[in-house]
Amino acid sequence: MDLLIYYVSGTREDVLSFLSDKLRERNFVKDSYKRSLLEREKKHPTGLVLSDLVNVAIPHTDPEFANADVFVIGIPQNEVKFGRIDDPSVEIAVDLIFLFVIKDPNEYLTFLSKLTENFANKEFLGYIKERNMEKINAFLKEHVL
Amino acid sequence: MGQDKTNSKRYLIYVACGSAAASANLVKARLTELLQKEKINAEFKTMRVSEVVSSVNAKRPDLVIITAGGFSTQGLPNDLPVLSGLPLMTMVGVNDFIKKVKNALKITEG
Repeated sequence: MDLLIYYVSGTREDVLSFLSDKLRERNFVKDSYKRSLLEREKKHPTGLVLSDLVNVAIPHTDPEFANADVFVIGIPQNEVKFGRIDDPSVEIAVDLIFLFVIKDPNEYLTFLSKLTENFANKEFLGYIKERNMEKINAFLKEHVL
Repeated sequence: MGQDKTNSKRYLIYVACGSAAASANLVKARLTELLQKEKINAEFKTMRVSEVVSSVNAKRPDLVIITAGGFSTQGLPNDLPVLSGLPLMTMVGVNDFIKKVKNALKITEG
């Protein structure tokens, strides 16, 4: 699976719009993806509070808006807040944004399973906190992608 | 004391998320594995959060697990246990979560 990394800034909507546009330009997603992603995040926020003071967001939408599989990491350049997945009224500033586009629903599940399994890995959490992209890249290639 | 272990019972568990695609299936897969280890026999049904009330009305489960926020228990029976499946996504507090599930299913620790 392709891995793309972008620096992002602005509000949560700015960030999701920016990443959607980048994915559209490269034809990873359909035109309707952006709207669906933004609506979905509004309705069902995806901010996750992990161990070791690490917060991430995993914005996603239905596989039907995907053209090809891709994993995108957004590195916030300012504080970007997401609603908590379990309590949308609480917003958390995230260390990184993991946005994934996967076409096949079964693959999607396998991927989500592999990614979240590693949320229990202290080494991985450390790399996220440090925003050590080289290590994150290597870790994801070995364990997730 | 003297309470039968209800291991032979097959429990019905509903798992709901925003789209019934990703997180509900993930929670179902993880929980299936964890419950098998505990020798607890369960049948799962995944759905969208918007479908929970009508599904419960159609057939009452033993437990409802929600993996999306903003879920209201309005319209559900007061005595129906509803848990957040988040620990199986963040991997924070998984053991506590299993205890809560067993508690909700009224399974006494062996």
